[in-house]
Amino acid sequence: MSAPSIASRENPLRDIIPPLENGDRLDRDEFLRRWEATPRIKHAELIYGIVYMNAAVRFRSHGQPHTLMTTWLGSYAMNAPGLLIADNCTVELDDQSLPQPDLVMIIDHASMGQTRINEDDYLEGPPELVVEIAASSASRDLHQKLKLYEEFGVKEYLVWNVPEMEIKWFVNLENGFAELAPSDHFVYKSQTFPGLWLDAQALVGRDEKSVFATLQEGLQTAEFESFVNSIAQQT
Amino acid sequence: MVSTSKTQYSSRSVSAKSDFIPPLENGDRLDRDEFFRRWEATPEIRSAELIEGVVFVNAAAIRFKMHGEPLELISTWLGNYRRFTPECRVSTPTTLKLDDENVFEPDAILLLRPEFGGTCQVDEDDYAQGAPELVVEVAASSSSRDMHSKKGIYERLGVKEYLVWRVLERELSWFRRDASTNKFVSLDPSSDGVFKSSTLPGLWLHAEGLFADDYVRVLETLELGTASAEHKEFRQRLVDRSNR
Repeated sequence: MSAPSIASRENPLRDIIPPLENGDRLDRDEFLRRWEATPRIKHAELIYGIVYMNAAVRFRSHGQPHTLMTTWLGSYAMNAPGLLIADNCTVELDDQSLPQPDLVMIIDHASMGQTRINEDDYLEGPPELVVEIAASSASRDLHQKLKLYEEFGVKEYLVWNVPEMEIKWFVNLENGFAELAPSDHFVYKSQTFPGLWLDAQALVGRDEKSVFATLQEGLQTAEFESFVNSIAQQT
Repeated sequence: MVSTSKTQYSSRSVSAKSDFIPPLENGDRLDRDEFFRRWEATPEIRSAELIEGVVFVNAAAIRFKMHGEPLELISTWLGNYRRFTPECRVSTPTTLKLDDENVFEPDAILLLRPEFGGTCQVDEDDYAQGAPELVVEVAASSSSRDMHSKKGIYERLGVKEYLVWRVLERELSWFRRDASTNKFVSLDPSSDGVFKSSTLPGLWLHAEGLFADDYVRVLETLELGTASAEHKEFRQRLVDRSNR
């Protein structure tokens, strides 16, 4: 149904670019136009055409766990040339969806990776790995964005629900996301990134030493070595 | 999606979990009770809505020309209608419980008191519950959720009339419920640019006067409405109904 309206001839507010608001129904271009006109907004996402913005970031339930994940993932990528990590970067999935995940890791090679960095310096396409820090099981990270990442073919999706001390690691199989099962000792082992091991119990308990010891074990495996070699051969 | 059961290490935290109320966040998937529980535990959030079970937190700051000033004019207009129509109640902005997955915060609502056939009531917690006769939203532009998700839900859940003033676009959309299809259709203004409510006879709005922030024209037009024969008949019908 078309909206009925009375449009006025004179409109002093005509040239104002409307502010970005939660729940706005926008496409990619209008989303970026409004956001660029409101530079104080640091975090905004377009999920299936709907705008979501975040409030201020909390220390223990977000900033600190985020840093721990960044360090863990960075330690892995540092040993594997050809992998790139980005923090809080906008990902263009299509005209209706531009999430801004906490962390992404991509394979930076045309023949192996499924993303590209476009002329505006935004990441396009589904990253191989997405990591989100969630504030509860009701978070959109575990609902709307789970569906989005699944549908667009993010290969692996790791969510740390901090207050509820829960880790979910999804792997995209033929029928969509399945939860990766940890080993007996609560260690998750990535299927896409051999050697990317995460001791979930140590992580939720903030036992950083054990988190990095387990990652070191992963980095010493033959699978990791052959993965690194396979990327190197492509380059 | 294949899903396995929760891993055991998370059960360690059960006791800690029961004391901790997660903060309300944009996009959370919640039902009404949990929405209110988390909101009450997050007092710094002044305005939030639950739309089809998804949380939308509103910016705390309110713009002057884009929101505050237009809403004041709407409130004055509605308040003056109420002055001549004591069978109705008006509230601005107000929490409105529509159902278990929809708790909105419209800029203004007007409802008929239950004894006059109104379908929205004030519940024991002092919240409006049910479908008001009229909902008014002041929106920045046509991409606002007021014109998308919320419009469809107001329509589905029985709101009789819905008015959206899109301030930046200087446009007004007024929807009424069509009796045969039970769907929203646009209420067309008269040739002189006056919208006349069909649910609330006498509630007349001079759109150009509204856009120009012209109090006099807006209130003079409303006075013509509240002095009209249709308003008199409407009030008589309401009184007859309550005496039945």
